[in-house]
Amino acid sequence: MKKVVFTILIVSLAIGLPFMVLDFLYKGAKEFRVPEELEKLVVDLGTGERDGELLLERYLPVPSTVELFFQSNTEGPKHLRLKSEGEMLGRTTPEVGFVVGRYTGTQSASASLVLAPGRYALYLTSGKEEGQLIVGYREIPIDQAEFARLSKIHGGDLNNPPSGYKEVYSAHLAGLDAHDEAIYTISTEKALDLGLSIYTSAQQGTVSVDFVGSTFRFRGLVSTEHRMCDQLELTLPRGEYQVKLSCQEADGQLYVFLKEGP
Amino acid sequence: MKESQAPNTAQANKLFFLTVLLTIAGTAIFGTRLGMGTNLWFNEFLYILLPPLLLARLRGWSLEEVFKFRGTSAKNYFLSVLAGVSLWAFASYFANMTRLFLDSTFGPVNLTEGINSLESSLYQIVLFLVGTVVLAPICEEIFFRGFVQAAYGRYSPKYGYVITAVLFGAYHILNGLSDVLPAMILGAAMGYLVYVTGSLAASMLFHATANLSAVLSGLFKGSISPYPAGWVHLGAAAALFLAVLTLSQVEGEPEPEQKEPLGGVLFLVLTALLFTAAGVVEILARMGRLSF
Repeated sequence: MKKVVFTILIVSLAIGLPFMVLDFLYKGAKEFRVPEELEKLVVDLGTGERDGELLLERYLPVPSTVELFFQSNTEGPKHLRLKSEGEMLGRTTPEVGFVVGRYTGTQSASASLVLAPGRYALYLTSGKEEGQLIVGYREIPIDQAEFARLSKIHGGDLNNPPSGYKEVYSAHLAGLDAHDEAIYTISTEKALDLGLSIYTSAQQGTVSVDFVGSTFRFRGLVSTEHRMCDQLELTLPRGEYQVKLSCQEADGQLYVFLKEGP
Repeated sequence: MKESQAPNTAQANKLFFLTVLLTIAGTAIFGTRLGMGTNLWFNEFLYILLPPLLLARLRGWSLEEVFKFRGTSAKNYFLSVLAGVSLWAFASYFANMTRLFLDSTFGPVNLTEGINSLESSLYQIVLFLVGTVVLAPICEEIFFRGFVQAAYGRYSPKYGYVITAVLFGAYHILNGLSDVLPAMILGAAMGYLVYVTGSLAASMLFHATANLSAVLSGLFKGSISPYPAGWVHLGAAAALFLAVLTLSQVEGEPEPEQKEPLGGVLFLVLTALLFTAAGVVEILARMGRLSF
């Protein structure tokens, strides 16, 4: 009987311990994890419905990168819209929207925007629900030369990559018809630090540039709807990666720049 | 049985005090952080099972002899299961009636933030169910019927299991005042099984059956009125009758024990004070003078 009792206890432990660990991780995942360096704004969603309510209003005296971070512990969609008085570089209109669901733990909605000097404001449209919305934000003044470079791209002068980047692809998009076509392939035998910078001046038709690996696909890095440029910096494990283009009835130009190494 | 090969009441009372203290402190400090299920596992493994096993290891006791790690006949197993179900039905009825009495006399317990914050993830629910149906019957039987009853059997060979049942019931004050008497009744039945059959397996099976019945009945709790209809009183009496009849059919011969004096009275008194404090806290909470 001793053997049976201790076997039951050991088997119970072998099953129970992973459950305790999973429960611990589950609890951790239910918490808000706002990066420490961000200012925090907590919105109590239980106080009532909101229709474009002003949450945050700030003034930027110099060009800045504005980092935004959102989490919430309620299910319903929270529509946030950021409007800027000055230009929002890389975007065709100076406003951007976010939809935030139940994002806790490592899940969040976030963005990094380059804004010209001026006022910007964040508005919320949401239903009444017991729970919170957390807004994290930070403003980092941007170097004048870098802002000038980005402004040139924003103005249509696309051939302005950051220092260290080289052009790997450029095309006039008018008349180009491509469906998920590989426009650049990178093959590496060891881990590789890679920078990818993509600009387009297309304003009509469909343009989508994806960056694809065996286990991921970054979709729509640029598009005609609202995103003119994007930049990724990644450390890639060994393997093959492709930049893919889809394009129909578009106009303007597309430039892809790449940097290998730190 | 030689003196060095069995626990005495001084050891039982000291370890019982330690277990109660650890359970109260552990639950107060870690309960909400660990969650209901994990906390139960901590209670069963660390505070209830570990102390008597460590002591047995230190003293070189044989688990088979001292804690009665022995099997019994198929008939006794069957009777243990039957008695477990029927006596649980009566104990559950008794607990409900006690709760109604306490509610009407002192007011209901209002579970506020502290208790509600014990979040029940699926993992916690599984841990709680396994802890209730598997771990509690093994760990609590080893501690109470294996260790404490072995010690009190030497103080009162005939009624050692009754004293153990009183301690077992008192320990359940930590779950609420209404659980004390029902746990005493169930403890007396389990103690009797061990006393007669000399097998801890019989009481573990009884305990597991009773706890499983409690878990299964919990599934329907929301749909059953706490105010019993007339037939429920009759049903409870029938269940008690069936349990007594079943237990009377259990076969075995109690082992003779040598009578010894009571030791560790100070620790018994300290434990009683802890239980009294727990009871007073619940009464004050029911009267609205304390909130959790």
